[in-house]
Amino acid sequence: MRIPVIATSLVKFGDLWEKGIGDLMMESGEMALRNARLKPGMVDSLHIANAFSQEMCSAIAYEKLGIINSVSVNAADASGAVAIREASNSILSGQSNVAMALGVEKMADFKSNEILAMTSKLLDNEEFFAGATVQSQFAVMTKKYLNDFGLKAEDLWFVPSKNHQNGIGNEYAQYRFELKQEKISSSPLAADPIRMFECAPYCDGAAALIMCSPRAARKFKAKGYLLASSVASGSSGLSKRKSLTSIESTKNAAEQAYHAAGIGPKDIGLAEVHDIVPISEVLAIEDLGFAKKGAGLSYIKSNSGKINLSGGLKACGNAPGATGVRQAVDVLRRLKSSKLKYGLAQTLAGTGSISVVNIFGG
Amino acid sequence: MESSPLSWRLSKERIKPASSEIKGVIESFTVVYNAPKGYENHVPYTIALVRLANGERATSQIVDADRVEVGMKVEPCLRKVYVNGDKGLIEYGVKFRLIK
Amino acid sequence: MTGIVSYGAYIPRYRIKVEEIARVYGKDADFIKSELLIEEKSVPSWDEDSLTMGFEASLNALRRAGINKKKIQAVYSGSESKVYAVKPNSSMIGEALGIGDDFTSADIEFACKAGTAGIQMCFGLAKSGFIEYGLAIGSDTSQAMPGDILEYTASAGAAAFIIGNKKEEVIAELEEMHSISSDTPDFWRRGMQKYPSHAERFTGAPAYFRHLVDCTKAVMQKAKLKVDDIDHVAFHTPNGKFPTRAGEILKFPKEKLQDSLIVSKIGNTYSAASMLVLTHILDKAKPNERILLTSFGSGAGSDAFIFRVTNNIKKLKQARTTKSYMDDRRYVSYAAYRKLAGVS
Repeated sequence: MRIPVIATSLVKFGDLWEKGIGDLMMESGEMALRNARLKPGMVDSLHIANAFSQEMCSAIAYEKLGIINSVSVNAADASGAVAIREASNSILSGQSNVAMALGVEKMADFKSNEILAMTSKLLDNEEFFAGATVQSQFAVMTKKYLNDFGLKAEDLWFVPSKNHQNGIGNEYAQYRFELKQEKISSSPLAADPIRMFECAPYCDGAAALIMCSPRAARKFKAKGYLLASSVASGSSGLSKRKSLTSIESTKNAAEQAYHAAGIGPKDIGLAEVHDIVPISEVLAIEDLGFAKKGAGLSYIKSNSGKINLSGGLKACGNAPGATGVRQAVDVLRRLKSSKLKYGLAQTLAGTGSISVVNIFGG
Repeated sequence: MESSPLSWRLSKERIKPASSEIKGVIESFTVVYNAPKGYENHVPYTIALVRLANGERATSQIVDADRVEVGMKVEPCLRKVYVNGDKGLIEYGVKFRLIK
Repeated sequence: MTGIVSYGAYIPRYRIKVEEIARVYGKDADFIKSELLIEEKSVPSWDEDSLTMGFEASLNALRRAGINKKKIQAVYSGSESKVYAVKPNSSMIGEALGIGDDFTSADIEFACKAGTAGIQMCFGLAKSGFIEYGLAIGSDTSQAMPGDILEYTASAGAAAFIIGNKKEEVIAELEEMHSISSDTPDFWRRGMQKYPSHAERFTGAPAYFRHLVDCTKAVMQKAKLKVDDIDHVAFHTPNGKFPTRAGEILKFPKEKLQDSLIVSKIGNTYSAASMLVLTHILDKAKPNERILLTSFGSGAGSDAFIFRVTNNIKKLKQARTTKSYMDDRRYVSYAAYRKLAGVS
């Protein structure tokens, strides 16, 4: 598979009080269309990713963008990444010559306890009923990981600090300031041992990319290529998983994606991974095959120029529908400017009920 | 949740372990301070992954414990889990407490 | 032979001391303690209620018994803090215990004697052969208005009795039973009210004493027994003072009333009160001993029973004793007590 990506667009993430879903769709959609010099009528299919807004996005796409054929994708935080796969399917099947993936989210419209309730519904029934949250279940995984590998909670603070440092250079990141470890330690516990300032904040945002069939590519300038897109499922509930310190869905998605792209983890030059909490970045590094079990944190420390250069979910902010597309856009843009050959974006839903791995080529 | 049929279907499975006499061991746990809607005034509460004597695992709250540690032995008990406001159903389920 | 086949208790582990409540309202703790003969009371966790506690006590009864639980054909739950105004504790508990669905059930209200009324119903069904086993539960998480005198005593607990009619299983044979009932407005709660109302001193002579004493005299007379024939006495315990005074009136020696004084450590568990005294007695009763139980429910009425312990009491299996629940305690502050009462 080698699908040309002919346009990318980003709307800066944050608390975008004045913009609604429709405004964000219009802004990111039009930017992408302009980027590729396309008229709306030339988009054969639009794959809209939105996790929580409950609006009829396909109708809005028609009203605000003038695109006729759109479908919605909902896979929680992985929605955007899944939308990329859906767009690629549309191209590969021959149904579309031009397909757009657009992710949009308005989390600032909700109260924090509502967000916790909505995201808790993504856990399995048993966890949701017990009063668990995505944070608490990652905390259970964190505690096991720390125990198994002889680490302390503070050791993981390197991850959000590093991501904030990276975010300073990203004009699209919500937070562009240093996050010192003392600041993290002074923040209250969300779910022991995870502290509030270790958690990526939910926010508003939008991102889009447009891909085309190899046949139509002659008319456009490719900004990069989509080489593989794998979506894998795993158990949502921790009690049903084989391991608390490995996310099966990521391992499966990675294996399938590497196979489809004909490459291995060592070939990946840069990666955007799902750092909703520090442990999810550490586990991603291990499950993607970059490091052995237990060596994820050391790998992150010695490869600071490689992981979540955008600032990750932590510094950019996490707008669930948009995040997966934002990661892809970040990878593509950095591949273009760095001349690295291969890049990867990995996104989770909940605590790993779904994992998506998208591999890109420069 | 508000749905009677859904609550009824789920409650049968949720309540069964209360009379099962199947005990367990805490495999990992966390203390929740940031709770979802409806659970805010229960904080702080402990959620644990319990490995049961029959080989299965369960995610549930630990109650009546002064201190929780990995490896502690626990037994099931029937407790209120969630109350659907003033008019809705009261949902019961199994939580775990330390075995003396 | 009809009688008790097994029994179970449950008391939540949290406690609040009289001193702690008195401190908040500027009252004299020593005076209250000497007036009521109460030191502390049990406090349920926010996630416990009359249903969860009734279930625990019933589980303990099943653990002790070794009977086929599917042969329990009646479940009666007595409570003045039943979980729903309409939706029975009894059928929920029966189903949760896994006894199947071939049973009759109902929730009973008669203030603190609702549980013993259930015991009587089970005796009737068992003695007439309609059921093999009946389960009678008394369970309450009684609430008292903040600052009211009842706040020092209104506590939480549950007791359950399995009633049967097989000679080889009965551990305490029912020798005699008597009840009196009247219309007496000593303590009541209107439908939409959260807390009960009470008539202070009127709850004494015309209510508790009149019914409990008269009913006890009547059952003793019916059974042709004297004070010396009774080894253990279980009276309803709204506080420590009332059962002590009733014992004096009826001329029972202090030692025989000792078990009723568990109230000073756990408070008034309302529908479970006299029943928990009985579970405590049964934990140590010996074959051939006689037990007198007289409950009292405001409104008002009393149920009196005379039991004779059989040899079968030695065959019971192990389960948590009432004392073990009494000894397992954690003290809470008034703030924590109110938080636990207010959370849902």
